[in-house]
Amino acid sequence: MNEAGQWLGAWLVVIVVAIMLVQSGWGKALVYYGLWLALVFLLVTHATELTDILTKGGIIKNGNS
Amino acid sequence: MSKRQGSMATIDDALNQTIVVNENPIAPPPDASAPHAAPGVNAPTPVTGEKPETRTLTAEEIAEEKDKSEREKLIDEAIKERERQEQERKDAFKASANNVVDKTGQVWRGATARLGSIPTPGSIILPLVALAVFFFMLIPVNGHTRFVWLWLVLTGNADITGGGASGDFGNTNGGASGDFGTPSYLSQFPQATTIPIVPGGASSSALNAVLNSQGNVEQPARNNGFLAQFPQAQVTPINPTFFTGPEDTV
Repeated sequence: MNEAGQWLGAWLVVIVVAIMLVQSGWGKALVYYGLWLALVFLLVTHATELTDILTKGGIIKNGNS
Repeated sequence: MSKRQGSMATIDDALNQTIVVNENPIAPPPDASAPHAAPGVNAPTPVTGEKPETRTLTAEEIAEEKDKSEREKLIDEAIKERERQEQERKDAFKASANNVVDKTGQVWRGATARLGSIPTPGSIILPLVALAVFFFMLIPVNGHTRFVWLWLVLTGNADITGGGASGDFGNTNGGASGDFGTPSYLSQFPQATTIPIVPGGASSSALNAVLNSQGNVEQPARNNGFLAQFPQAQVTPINPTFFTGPEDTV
């Protein structure tokens, strides 16, 4: 299996496990807060890009910032 | 010494007694149903006509028999006691194991019940959408985030073209495409300065040679060693156009 297949397979497993967990009450809470945690992790690791977006310099408007 | 300890000592003594086995057993009685028996094996005892001798037991022998039966009784009791103790040990272990399983189940049920009772406002959809939005907004691909690429495409500043770096660079369908020299592309880089390159103004001698050739790239390229590796190569002269992006800004 090539890398793309492994990547796709891994994501499929993650999605299936998440769906199975959501079926139960406790699993739903786990997935819910796991997703929020992932969001926080994403924001922290991409803080620079987030700052660029939120500041004037990050806005591209037909070449005029 | 308690009564029980005394009993146990008696039992142990009885168990430690050696059993004497008679190594010269009496020959079994004649067996008429075994006609093929070896001669002399089940030979009949000669009939003498005398009555078998009877013997009365002495008081000592009676006492000994009594002791023997008493001992056997005690041994039976001891065996039963040991079996009971063994059973008790097994029951205790089973009860302990069941207790552990019950306790674990209680902890698991308690934890899952607590987790299940935690509210999930907005359901799973809310964090999922938020994550997707920030994913498209923050993770850059080829220099821009997916949202920026969408914006550029919608505003006409970027094109979605087929092909790409396919490796088939000899035909006109593949290859990296894009009109990098157009004002709409350059407008993304307001600080970029386009420097017209005149013959002799380039930074590398190879590029100057090309510029000086006035479109005939064959001879300068051959002189610079690249095409010299391919003496039979046919080069079609082209009219080069140059673009300086932000990287070339002085």
